[in-house]
Amino acid sequence: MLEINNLHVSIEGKEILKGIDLSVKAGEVHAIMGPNGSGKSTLASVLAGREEYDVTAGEIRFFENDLLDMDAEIRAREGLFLAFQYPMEIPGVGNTYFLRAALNAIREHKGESQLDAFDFLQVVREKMKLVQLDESLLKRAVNEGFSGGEKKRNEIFHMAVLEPRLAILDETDSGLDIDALRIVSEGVNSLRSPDRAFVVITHYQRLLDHIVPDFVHVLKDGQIIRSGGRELALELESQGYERLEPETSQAS
Amino acid sequence: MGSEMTAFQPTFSKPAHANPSIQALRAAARTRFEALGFPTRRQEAWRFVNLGAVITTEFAPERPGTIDVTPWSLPESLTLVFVNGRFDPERSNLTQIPPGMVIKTLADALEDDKGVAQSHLGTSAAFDDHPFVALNTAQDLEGAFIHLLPGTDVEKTIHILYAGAGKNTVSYPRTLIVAESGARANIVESYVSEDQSLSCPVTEVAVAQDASIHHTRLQEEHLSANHLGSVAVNLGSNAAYQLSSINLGAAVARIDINVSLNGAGADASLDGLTLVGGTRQGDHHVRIDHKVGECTSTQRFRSVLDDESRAVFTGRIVVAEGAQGTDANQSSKSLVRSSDAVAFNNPQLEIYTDDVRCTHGSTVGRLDEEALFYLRARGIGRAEAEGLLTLAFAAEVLDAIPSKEIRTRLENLITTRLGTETG
Repeated sequence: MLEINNLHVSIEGKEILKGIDLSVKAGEVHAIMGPNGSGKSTLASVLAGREEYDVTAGEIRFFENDLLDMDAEIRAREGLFLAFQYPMEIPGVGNTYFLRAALNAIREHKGESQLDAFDFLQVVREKMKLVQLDESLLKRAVNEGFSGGEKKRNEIFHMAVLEPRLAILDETDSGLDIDALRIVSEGVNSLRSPDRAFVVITHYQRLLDHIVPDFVHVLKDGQIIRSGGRELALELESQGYERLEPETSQAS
Repeated sequence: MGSEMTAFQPTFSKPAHANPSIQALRAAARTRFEALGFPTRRQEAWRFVNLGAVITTEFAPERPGTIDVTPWSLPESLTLVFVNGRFDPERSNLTQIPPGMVIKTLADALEDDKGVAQSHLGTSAAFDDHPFVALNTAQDLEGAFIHLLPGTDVEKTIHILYAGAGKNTVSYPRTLIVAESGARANIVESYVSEDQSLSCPVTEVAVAQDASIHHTRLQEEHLSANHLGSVAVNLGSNAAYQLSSINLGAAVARIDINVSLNGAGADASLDGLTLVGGTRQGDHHVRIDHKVGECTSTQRFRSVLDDESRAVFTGRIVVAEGAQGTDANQSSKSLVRSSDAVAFNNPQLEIYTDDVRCTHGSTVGRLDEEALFYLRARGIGRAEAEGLLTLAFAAEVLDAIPSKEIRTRLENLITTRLGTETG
């Protein structure tokens, strides 16, 4: 569903991604690991449609479409979801109101009927259980005054409601204690399906104890230097990023 | 003075009122208007306003006309409708007036013998240095009169709707609200029109001891109209006055708000929201006089600007000598959604006593791009996302409006109309 070919990305003239190739198929979970500054979050931002990045070469296909040609909202409606590393607080915009507007925008795009407040509430009640989100948080403004863990759970809750085809989790584990990590992971695992793929971006292997990936890619200095199975994450855990060297030399 | 250059020459009818004091008031106002003339931009108080379109248009005095007012009606309310300044009994609804309350035209009130209207008229709205208040006072004094007897608590919303029908008409609506001790009411004034026109309304409000008035003022004139309005309020001890001034329409709209806190414990809470686009301009000019101590005042003014529009807020807080224990707060914020729009926010403090607490804060900002991206990344389109964030910006002011019907209508208007207006 996602094909990234030779992706080069710069911001303010500085090249961050230096030729990324990645192929994700339905039902797969890919982990992208790497040290700080390796370009992990840039990759997530470019996939979600952040406009301040310059794609200087390469292409991204999402199903049959040219992803880079689509606005952020169209990507979301086509089924791409980014769980933000730092979810925004938006005072004055209610969490429920916002989420219903988002779901209805996606449903409209798919030619489905709009959900009214009552029908939406049924959906919400069911999905909230997945991440053990307190119902009081629904009534608040989006992420306003939420704790770090509540914000991350709210992201997974949004994902559960919007039912994307491809979910990108950008360091969803950062700032979570072990209980919150377990809740978030269980939420994600319950959403795994043969039709849905995940790209899990993380610095630490501990998240992958809970969300077990099919593939692990190591990103370093803007390039994927190693790809492998789950055992690659364990290797990283014991060796660290510094000692990890490319298995085969990469085209540059 | 620019009056010799103007095409708009206001006309004045002969005072019909029998009461000599009203005749004298109108005559004095006319003399004062003729001395002041139309303001020019050389005058500090009018520095930011371009009145070119007002004084170069040949506005004719009020003419009979018809206009469909249903878009602005509040079905459950007691309603007085005026079209081109004339009372329209057909469109008004004065059934089931609760006891303890008088609601009638100001003209009728000035004719009766109880003297409440006569004694209050002109006591809040000073015309010495305001040409448009003088011009209004010199006219026929057509409009609404509301008198709440002591302790009267009116549950129904009271709605006064001033509609301008036809092109190039001018009207001078005049509202007088007198709330006696302990009375409470929720009063809505609407100003609407369907074409280029000029409206110079004056609303006077007297709130006596322990009385409480919520005043929602909706300026929804046609986008080519001009609106130069004034609100003047006198508050007695422990009186409360809450204003929600919503400034949506007109090519040039200026609303002057003068509130005088005359008795200890009085509280004025003034909110304003201006939405402008195209090349339009919307202004709020506020002056709060803390005449005595132990009073509180709050100002929350917001403006949202698109295209090449302008919005001005001037907020002056005057704390008189000896007004100890004054607590005055002011906040003005502008959301500028276009690089060609300009917002001016001018806080002005004049404090002649020591023991006061005065705060003021003013910001001019843009839509938060990070928040916009967050909304869009969930599937919400750019225009709708901008509408949601704008609604959030205006929420404090909208939430304070008592009528849910008005709140909902304004919320829909903000999320749909904004950004669609062209110059």
